[in-house]
Amino acid sequence: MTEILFWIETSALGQLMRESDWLFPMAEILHFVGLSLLIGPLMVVDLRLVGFLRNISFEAVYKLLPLSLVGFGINMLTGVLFCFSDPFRYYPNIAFRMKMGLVLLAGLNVLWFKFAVLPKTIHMSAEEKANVIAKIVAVLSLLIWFAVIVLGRMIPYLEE
Amino acid sequence: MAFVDWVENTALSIWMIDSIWAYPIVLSTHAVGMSIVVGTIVIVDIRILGFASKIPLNSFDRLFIVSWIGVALNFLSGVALFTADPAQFLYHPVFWIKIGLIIVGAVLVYVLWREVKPDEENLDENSEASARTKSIALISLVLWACVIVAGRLIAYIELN
Repeated sequence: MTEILFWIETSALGQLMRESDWLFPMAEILHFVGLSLLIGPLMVVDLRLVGFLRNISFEAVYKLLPLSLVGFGINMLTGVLFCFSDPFRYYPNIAFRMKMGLVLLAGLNVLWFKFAVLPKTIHMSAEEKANVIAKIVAVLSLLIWFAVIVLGRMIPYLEE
Repeated sequence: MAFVDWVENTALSIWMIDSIWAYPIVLSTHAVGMSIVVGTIVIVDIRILGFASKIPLNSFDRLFIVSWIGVALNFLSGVALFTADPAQFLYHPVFWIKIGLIIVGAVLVYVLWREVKPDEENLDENSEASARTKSIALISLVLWACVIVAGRLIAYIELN
């Protein structure tokens, strides 16, 4: 592992991230914008599944989900940039590890949504209610993503 | 300055500085609140601009409640963060730019909320907003992005 981290640190991208005064702050600003784009549509879908925002059909709220993917894409790219800037800082960090674990868990939750919730709800009318499984998936999604934000913010405070 | 002294002696300020966990937890809350505020506003703005037109324009009434919850969360966490270092914020031009942008942004949210109220005209699926409403939505989108940029810059441009 140390060799991999060392390779990342000495890579051209790693050097570039450390040498530039504005690249890291720029990436961080984009990470916050991406975060908002990711959370917004996701929250609307989750709230809809739970039963809030009943006047919008499921099919309509699902149209927002591509925006979440854009936000996730921005944050994955900018996140990789942070890791390249200082891999030895992030890799051992407990908040970073938990955050990555939760992002994976969120990914599994998305799969659960895609295969168990999406097909059942997409043609429901605005008045129909989602089942319990759908509500569990929605609550899990909200909890996991908010925990991801908190853990991300905790990284500098849980340094060795 | 008397005001700074007063703030620094409040129980909130003392707690924010003395407790190891207070500052990171409040900061995390501020990030969560940001994702709620900006995330929901982005959705309303892009819908007004024509994206995800399957969502009826007049169905955002409840989503605005979520936005206001985020605003309240970030006002409270923002006040707590301010008390931790009042002099740093009080004399920071970017802090005041951020506050100004938030005030204008909140007014625009209120204006858009009025514009797309369900009891006004009955706007159906695929309904289109007026050019005036669209321009307000576009300004709101840019404004809230600037709020995020300003928030990050406060941390990067440190005064002493």
